[in-house]
Amino acid sequence: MTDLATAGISPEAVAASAPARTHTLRQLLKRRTFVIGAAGLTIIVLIALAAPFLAPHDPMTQDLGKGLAPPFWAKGGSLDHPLGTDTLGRDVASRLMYGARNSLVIALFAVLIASVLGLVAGLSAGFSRGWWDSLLMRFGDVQLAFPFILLAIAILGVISDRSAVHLILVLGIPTWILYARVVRSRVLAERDKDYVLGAKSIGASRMRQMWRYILPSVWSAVLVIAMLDFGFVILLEATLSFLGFGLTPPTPSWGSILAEGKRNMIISPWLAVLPGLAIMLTVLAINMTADGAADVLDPKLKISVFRRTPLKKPANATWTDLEGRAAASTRSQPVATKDEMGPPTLLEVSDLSVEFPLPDKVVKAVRHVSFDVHRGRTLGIVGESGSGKSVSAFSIIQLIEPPGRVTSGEVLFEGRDLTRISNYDMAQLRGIKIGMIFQNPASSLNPVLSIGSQMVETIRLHLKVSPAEARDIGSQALLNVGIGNPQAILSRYPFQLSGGMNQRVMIAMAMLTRPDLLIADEPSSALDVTTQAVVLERLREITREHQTSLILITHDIALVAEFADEILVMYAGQVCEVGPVRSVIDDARHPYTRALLQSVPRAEIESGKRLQAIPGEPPDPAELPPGCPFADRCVSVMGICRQVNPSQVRVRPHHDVACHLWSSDKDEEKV
Amino acid sequence: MKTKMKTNRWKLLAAFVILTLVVPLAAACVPTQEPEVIKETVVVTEKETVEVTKVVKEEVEVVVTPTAPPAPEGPSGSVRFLIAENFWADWDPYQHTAQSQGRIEGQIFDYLVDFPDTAAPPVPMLATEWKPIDDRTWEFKLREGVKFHDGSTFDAEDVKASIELASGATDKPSLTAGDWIKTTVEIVDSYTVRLVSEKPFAALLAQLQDTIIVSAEDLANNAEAIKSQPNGTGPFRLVENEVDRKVMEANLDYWQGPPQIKTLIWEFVQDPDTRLAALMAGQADAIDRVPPQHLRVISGSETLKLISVTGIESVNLFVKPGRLPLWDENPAFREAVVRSIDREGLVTGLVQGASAVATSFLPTRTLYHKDGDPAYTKDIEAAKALLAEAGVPDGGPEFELWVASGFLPRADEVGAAIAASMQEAGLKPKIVTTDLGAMIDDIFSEDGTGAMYHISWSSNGDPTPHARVYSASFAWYFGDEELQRLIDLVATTIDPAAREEATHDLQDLLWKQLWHVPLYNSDFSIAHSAKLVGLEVRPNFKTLFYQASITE
Amino acid sequence: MLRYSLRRTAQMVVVVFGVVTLVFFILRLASGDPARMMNPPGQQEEIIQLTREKIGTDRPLMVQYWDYLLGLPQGDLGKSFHGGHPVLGELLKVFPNTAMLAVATILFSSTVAILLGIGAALRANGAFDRLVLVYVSVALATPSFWLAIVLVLIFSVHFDWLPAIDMEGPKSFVLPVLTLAVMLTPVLIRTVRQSFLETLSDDHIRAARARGIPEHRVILVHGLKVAALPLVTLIGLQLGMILAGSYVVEFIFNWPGIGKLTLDAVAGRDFPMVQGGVLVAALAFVIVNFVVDLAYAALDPRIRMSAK
Repeated sequence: MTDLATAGISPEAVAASAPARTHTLRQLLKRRTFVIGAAGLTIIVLIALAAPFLAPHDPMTQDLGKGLAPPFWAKGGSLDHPLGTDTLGRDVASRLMYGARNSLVIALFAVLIASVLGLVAGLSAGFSRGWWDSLLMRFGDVQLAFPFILLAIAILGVISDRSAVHLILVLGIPTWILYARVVRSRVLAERDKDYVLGAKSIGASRMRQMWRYILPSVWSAVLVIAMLDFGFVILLEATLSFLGFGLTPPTPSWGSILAEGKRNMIISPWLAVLPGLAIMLTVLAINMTADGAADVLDPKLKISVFRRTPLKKPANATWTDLEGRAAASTRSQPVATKDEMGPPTLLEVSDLSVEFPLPDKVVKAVRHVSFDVHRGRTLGIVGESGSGKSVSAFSIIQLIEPPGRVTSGEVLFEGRDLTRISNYDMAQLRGIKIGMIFQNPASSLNPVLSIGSQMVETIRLHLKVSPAEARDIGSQALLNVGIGNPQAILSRYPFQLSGGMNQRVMIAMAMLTRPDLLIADEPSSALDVTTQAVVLERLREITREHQTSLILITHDIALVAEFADEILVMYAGQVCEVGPVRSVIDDARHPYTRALLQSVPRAEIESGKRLQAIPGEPPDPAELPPGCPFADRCVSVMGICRQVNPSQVRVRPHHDVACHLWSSDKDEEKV
Repeated sequence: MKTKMKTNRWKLLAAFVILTLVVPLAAACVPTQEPEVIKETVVVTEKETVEVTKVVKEEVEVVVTPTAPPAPEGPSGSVRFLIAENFWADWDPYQHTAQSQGRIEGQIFDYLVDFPDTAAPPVPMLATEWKPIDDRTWEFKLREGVKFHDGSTFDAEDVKASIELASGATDKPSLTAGDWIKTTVEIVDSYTVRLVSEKPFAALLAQLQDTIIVSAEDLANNAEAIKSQPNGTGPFRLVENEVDRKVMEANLDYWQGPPQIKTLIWEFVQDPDTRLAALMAGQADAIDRVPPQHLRVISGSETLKLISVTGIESVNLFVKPGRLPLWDENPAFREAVVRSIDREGLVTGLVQGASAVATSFLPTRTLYHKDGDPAYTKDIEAAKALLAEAGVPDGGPEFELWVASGFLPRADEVGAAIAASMQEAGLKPKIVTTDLGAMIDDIFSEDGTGAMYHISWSSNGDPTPHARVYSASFAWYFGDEELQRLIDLVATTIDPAAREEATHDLQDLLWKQLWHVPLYNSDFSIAHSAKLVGLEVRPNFKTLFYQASITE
Repeated sequence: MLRYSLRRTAQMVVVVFGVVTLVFFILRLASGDPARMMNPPGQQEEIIQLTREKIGTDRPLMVQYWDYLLGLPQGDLGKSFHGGHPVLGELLKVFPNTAMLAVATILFSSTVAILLGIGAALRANGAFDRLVLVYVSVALATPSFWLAIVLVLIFSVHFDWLPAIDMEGPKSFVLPVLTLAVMLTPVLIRTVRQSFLETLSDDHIRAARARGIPEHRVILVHGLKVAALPLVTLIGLQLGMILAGSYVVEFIFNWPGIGKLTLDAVAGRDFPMVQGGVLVAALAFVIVNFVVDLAYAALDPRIRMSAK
């Protein structure tokens, strides 16, 4: 119980969602832990059920003359008693089979009692809220606050004739609270949902609400807990039996067989080893089944042992976003221009593709993207969430979360291909030559380390100075980004500072080493409007001052219009339009770019107002069209758009666009 | 990706399969011996030892004066003995009936007389000689020069205070009074006393071997202190008094000469496997109550020794009067039950060791023991015939047979075996397995349901305390007046020959009436490391370390 | 903070009081008269009655309860039925032994859990991760007492490397701690692994890497500081498991601790000692959890600061 209680089943974790139950069985059968566990469990249950037919002997029949016969594989053993006999000459194999019945039945009923009690308590608490709710939950807290086995021992220790019923009650009743908590939080989460509210307004009775709407959403959580509880109860029964508080003999249960076997352990070890193994394998099978089931039935219950680690999504992307990209096919061709645009090129990205392999498919987050960053210039990358803009940026400093990987292209920085250099060399570049600041300044600083210690760490990493000197450098850096009282800030923790303040700290830290390239991933989107302006202004000043190149990643085209020299518009992992900022803003060619611009009133471009929604959704992730990914939302959509993914054409100097409106493909079709 | 997952799946499976196979195989590889019934247990008859002891004692009497220095080398070494029974009692004298306490008291206290052989006359201890004056009076000459651990001198006052308190002759109640007849002590001189019992008390000498002699001064003035700090005249004195652990040190001034062991530790360890593991690992030097299943492990070991004696303990199925009317009324039914049980099988197959099939309701090592006739060997046909004779050819009503798990060795298994053989004869026993506390409750409770109880009764070797359990003062008495008369006769007959005859009559009657089901006399086995020599183990469970020594 | 402490203390008192009351009555209402247990079966009634008077069970139940309650605030937990030892004294004598076992277990288990958990998280779904997960699932399914016996058979009886019983020197800790660790580590490893996986994908870890912080510092300083926080709470909660486990382990290894004392007392119907053992366990549990809450606050500046 203790184990379950602390295994991380938090009500909050399960409160959120009702699980999707489509193709549950098929999904279950795909989990190998579930299959192995369920198969094992089935075999064990079948053996227990078929004990009267399978058992070679009556489990109670004794033959004192044949006591302690060894199992068949040991010297002196015979197949008549395949697993040997105990001191009374009873057949161990038969006793184990019959013992399985008792152990399993006790555990089953204990779990049944606990789950029914918990379900009723959880439902009633969740619905009544009020005093009944708090009474139940406080009582549960108190109960959880105490090592239960102590009470079990005290209770069972003084019951003389312990039958299965006693054990069932003692093992079952105390775990109700585990179920009740989960059910209660589910109820609280569900009862406010639309369909339940709707039912209420049309006058569905409370009972009906429970049965129709709430129960279906809690059954899977209850089932999973019950399965884990099941294994735990079997172990607990064995432990109590071992301590002498189990079923009274001669009724066999695994625990009591083990306890009896233990008395002969030194001369006949198998008598204790076999039931121990039986218990272990059964519990293992149950846990595997439960884990496998938990993955599918109720992923919110973070209890899985075997579950494959969930893949980490790249920042700003959701699963559906990523998966949606998977099916899209693109023609392999560079989209962005590499024409000279003035100052020397610092960073040269060409034909970059990034993929995230999932268990059953591969998500192509970035597809054949090329762009350049010039010394001292700012490139703005614009796109919606999941357009691949952040992944592109992270791939520059090789910080894509596994299992994501660069599958094609190169990233040339000062002539070295960053996708091919060693981790060590990359680490040397990071923080020195290339700095990065992030969208959420508060969460990008370590929450349990003070600002000062994080700055000092970074400074001393790159400069051979004492901590005190590092602190001075740090406070100077903070002054440089406009923080007036650096000493005070240094001793604070990130959660004590405002977002703008944190972001300035981030900028200061990133600029400590005067990097050649600074990547700013949505540096201002988590900040309020006034702070945004201040932070960005500071960013612009400091990059200008040090001639630092900047990649500004944002979904706000207005921001790019103001701060960037060049602009790159991304959609669904592809480049839509790229070019000098004035050229693109003033003469946008791609319908997506136009839509972005239209959503921002011209007059307000300066103010950094947020992007208005474009009608429609990004393509259905499961079924991407073979053609242009923007086709479904495009106001100028044509027939070809749904069949062929457009390639990139030069429309003005340094200004390229990937759209059939401007491509020769369209003309071919027209002809 | 796909193939990789597959190999992982196989790895996982392989791990489980290996685990499943390897562990039992490994277990099977641990050397085991062929199941064989052990019969070559060492039964310590004590006869020879007794002679030796006597000689030593006489020498001691001559040589050792109160001021004599201890033996040149002095006591050495530490011995740890793991005992199987809780130290239930405190050291408050005569206020307990706990066997464990009685056994440890034997290291710290002395008695007036000692019975190295439970079925033979006593030898001197604190009393040097004794003679009966009349039916109710004995005169004892006491040993001079004996000192208590606190340095005070032992004399007649101490005997008076001790005996009168123990026998219930004072105002203060004592839990040992049940074994006594009220006895007052007249002091003749400092080293001569006369014990005067209210009634003729045939078991007086035997009772003295269980009655520790404490200091009169302590009883009068230190009654609280001696509950935790006993003050005796024995070979060891207590230095540490923990709940489960008693540490004793050699009494260098012991009147028989100091013991050879310097430190003696008695410790309660409930679990027999733990005790054996400790002995095998060299962490204990001796362990108490070796259960049957461990006997062969020890007899097969070169570094361990076993002392097995047939205990003065009758294990019976005690029948509670009134619970099974057929039993109370019908001798044929009773005999049928007894004849249905394979007692020989129980002894050889289950309790093993030095245990022996009961041939009387008084165990073999009891004074005046006499084998009963017939032997009541298992005979299912005879049992069935007897059932028919009793008018219940179908075996009669169902009755409950209670066994207390963990109380007597292999109680569960013995209960199961008995029930199985009873069923063979058509009887209808229902086994109730429980713990001791619940069983005792059921025996004494008005609405108790048990008919037969698998329990034991032991004594010091005299017939009277043993026969007492069948008398009217106990719960097991069926109102048989002849039985009570004989028990009283044995208790009050002083003349040895007459008492022997009465004891034989008593045994014959018990054996004929079969009020209870005689099963066996227990095995009492103590295992010790071969380094420990001179340990004395008696059938009445006394375990004496005085003459033991240990080589490191 | 003060209010919180007061409320927690009140809650603890209620829990402990409830547990003590429950145990008091369960013991006395169930079967097994201690006075009879202390005498040979069939002992004369007068002797039994004398024994009852000696241990005080002849008085009415409520009187006994009231006396017990009155004694509690003064630290008087009664006297053992067996030998009259003051219960409190005996408990205090053996408590350090259980505490030492618990501390050794926690230190060992959390070290192992952190090492294995981090190792597994760093190469999630790799070979090592899988190996660790196999260990976790097998250990979860292993009955601890059974393991203890097997360990004793192998290491004490067969090879004679380690002591089979007792608390004597560092070697004697090996088997009991190992047994408890097998019980405890699966949950801890799982938590560390999970928490580490989540932490590793946190923004600040990526940010730290982006600042060029070397990988070992990222993991051991930035990752561990955050990931270890749930472990602290968990260990507090697991104390119940350790206490429960110590019953089994102390029984098998004859460890002179609270668990062995309580189990022996249950077998002998030594009510005051059972009550005392349960009381100490309950107290230890609630107090440690309180301390863990405070420790959590101390370790996590977010909570520490907000409480001020």
